[in-house]
Amino acid sequence: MNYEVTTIDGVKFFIATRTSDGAIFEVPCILDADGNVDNDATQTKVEQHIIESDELITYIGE
Amino acid sequence: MTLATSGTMSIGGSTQDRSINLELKRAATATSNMNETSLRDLADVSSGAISMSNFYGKTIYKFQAVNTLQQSVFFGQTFTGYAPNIAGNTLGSTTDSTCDLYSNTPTWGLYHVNTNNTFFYIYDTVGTPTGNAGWTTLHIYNGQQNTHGLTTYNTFTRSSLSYTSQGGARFWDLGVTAFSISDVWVTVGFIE
Repeated sequence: MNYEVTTIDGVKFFIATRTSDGAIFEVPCILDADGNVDNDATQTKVEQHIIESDELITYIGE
Repeated sequence: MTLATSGTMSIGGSTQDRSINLELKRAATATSNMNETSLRDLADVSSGAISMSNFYGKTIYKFQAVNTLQQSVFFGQTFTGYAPNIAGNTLGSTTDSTCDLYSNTPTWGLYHVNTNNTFFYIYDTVGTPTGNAGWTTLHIYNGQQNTHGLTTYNTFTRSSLSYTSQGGARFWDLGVTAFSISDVWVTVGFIE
């Protein structure tokens, strides 16, 4: 998994790209009281999002 | 809703399909003028002369549809919403099954599993615009078969949502369970 934090439309996103299948996960960063990225909280949010996404993709199909 | 295609049109007023203010989700009596960016954007006239007839047939939504919700159990889990294909099963129905937000008008869905967050998804990753793009704001009207009302919808801003591109699909996590089966219908309106 490759990770980066980038700003899109003024919002900081944590972007994870999974090398095994090319899946891309973009999650708005959680900021602390000083406006900095709370890495631990954001990482937890990303991991949960990946779990939910992996589940969702098993359901939808053409 | 879409403004009328002919006849009387006004900036203000309370007639839903003849009031520019209402289409812009402003109060019927709000002060607006034809030279505002919002009005020019709606009329699709970026500069120069603009007239009331430029608003005929216009809507703030680039894509809108009315979904008839269905709740069914697949794989031992409860699915609620609209989706054309959940592992071979259709869930609910919609008035427009192809999403005009993208160049190749993909199929799309809006549903949640159990009481988890609702997802909006398109079954496409290559239509333009690509990636996490294509719309800025989603309005969801619970229990409505139209987009009437200034406060009857919930707003979701794309830039605040988690996004995934995976397995030939793109999907956005709305962050909440956006409706329930008791709503019967939800109308969605996407602003570009």
